[in-house]
Amino acid sequence: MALVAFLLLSLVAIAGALLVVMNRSPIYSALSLVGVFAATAVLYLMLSAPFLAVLQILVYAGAIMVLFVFVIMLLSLREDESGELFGLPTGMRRLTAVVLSGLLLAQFAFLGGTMVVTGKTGTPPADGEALGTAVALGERLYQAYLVPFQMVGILLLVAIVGAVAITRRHGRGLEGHMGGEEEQA
Amino acid sequence: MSLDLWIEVILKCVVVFFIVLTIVAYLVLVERKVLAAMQSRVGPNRVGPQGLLQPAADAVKLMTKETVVPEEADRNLFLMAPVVSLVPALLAYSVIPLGSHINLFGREIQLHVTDINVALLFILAMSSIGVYGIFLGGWSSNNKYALMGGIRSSAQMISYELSMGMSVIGVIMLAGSFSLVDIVNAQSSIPFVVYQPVGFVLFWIAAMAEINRTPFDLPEAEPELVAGYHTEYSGMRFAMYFLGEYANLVTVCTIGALLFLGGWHVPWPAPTWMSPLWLALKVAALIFFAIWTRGTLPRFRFDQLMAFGWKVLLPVALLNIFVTALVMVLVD
Repeated sequence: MALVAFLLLSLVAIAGALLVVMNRSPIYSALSLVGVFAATAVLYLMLSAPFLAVLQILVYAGAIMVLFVFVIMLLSLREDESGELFGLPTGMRRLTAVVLSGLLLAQFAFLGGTMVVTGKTGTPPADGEALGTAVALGERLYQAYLVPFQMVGILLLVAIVGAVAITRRHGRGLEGHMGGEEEQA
Repeated sequence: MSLDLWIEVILKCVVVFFIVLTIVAYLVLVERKVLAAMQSRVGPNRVGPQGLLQPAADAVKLMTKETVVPEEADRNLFLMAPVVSLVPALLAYSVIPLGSHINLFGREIQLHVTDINVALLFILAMSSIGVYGIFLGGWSSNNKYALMGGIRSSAQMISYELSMGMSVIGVIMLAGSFSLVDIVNAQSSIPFVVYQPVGFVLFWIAAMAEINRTPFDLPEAEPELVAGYHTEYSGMRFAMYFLGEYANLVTVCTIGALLFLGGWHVPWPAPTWMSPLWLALKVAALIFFAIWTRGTLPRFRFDQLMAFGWKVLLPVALLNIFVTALVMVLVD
């Protein structure tokens, strides 16, 4: 039962991931990614981590991807017919794809190899049930991992400040065009 | 799971589904009647006694109408979008308790489909997924009014979702749980609206904006946008948007009653089998208030809406969390 569900979900996640990169239309790519997030969320649920599963939907599918799709809609991006990516010629793009996939494969091979050598498999810990709750996660984040957690927060703040700085520099001329108040807010 | 448990869960799903759809169908009639009374009109009164069969007539009409797909529309997304809007709205009811418990056929039946310990987050997640239905509908129609409506509604929902999430954190802190059953049981003596008056007001405003109710119904502002994101929709696809919208209204009113008004708890002693009734009365009062608001307030302007959401609602919500935390630490 659980195995069948796992296989089905993995199939959805992998198919979704393939569609993300193979679709020519940006909006379909983005929606496929939402499908991947949904499938991973259910996988978290099966690993008895309901809090993480709901956050995956709430934050990734419900907030981040909504913004992505929002931007795609605003720029009314249609199918990518130009074949251009960061202005790289086709040969370079193929090379990049091969190198990056090679790196990913090497990573998987390393992980698999370590598992075989050390005999450790990916089974969840015995107290996994208790670890998946909001209380357990909160206690870990705010006690055991307080400093790294705060550092990630600061990192995100830096990213936000950077994003504002970038839009400010390019946005000077846009302000009048965009109609003021609501865009800045 | 044993067989009788399976049967119980499946029956519960079916019953909840029908209760929600019936309430939603009659909610449309109630809204038209109440608005008519507020505007000194009669309202629908042709179909059946006092117009009581109007929902049935509407259903037959909408189901038999043709679904028109515009020539230039993105066909797949156009057909999918209303479903994406309706399904999360209905899914939210899987974690909403409709009362305490009743005894039936010699077994104690809990009046909720499932009580997960992240129920409240699940509902917020479903409401954030519902945004897709609206703006995909607006985008795939390939119509400038629909697109404008879709963009407006996604901007609005993204902005107010945050305030809505923040406004309920005070309640979660007081109850110490995300489970709706736990939150209601924490209010057996005093409803949380007494401790969280600011939270309740914030929740109500943000929720009305999140479900596009007047005075926040900019996505479908008739004078400027025809009908907004669902301009191109007809027949059953249009009905799905409509059902989703009213289902969301019932959801937020139920959440409001559960989180702030004490759910099914009443100040006087009452048998547990009456718990759905008390909850229904509180939800009905909130729904009436929402319709009343619609009959009273004019619509916001879009920039006012954005400024209000980000510059007033969000800071006050953050302040509310801070003050709640401070008081809780001091009292302990």
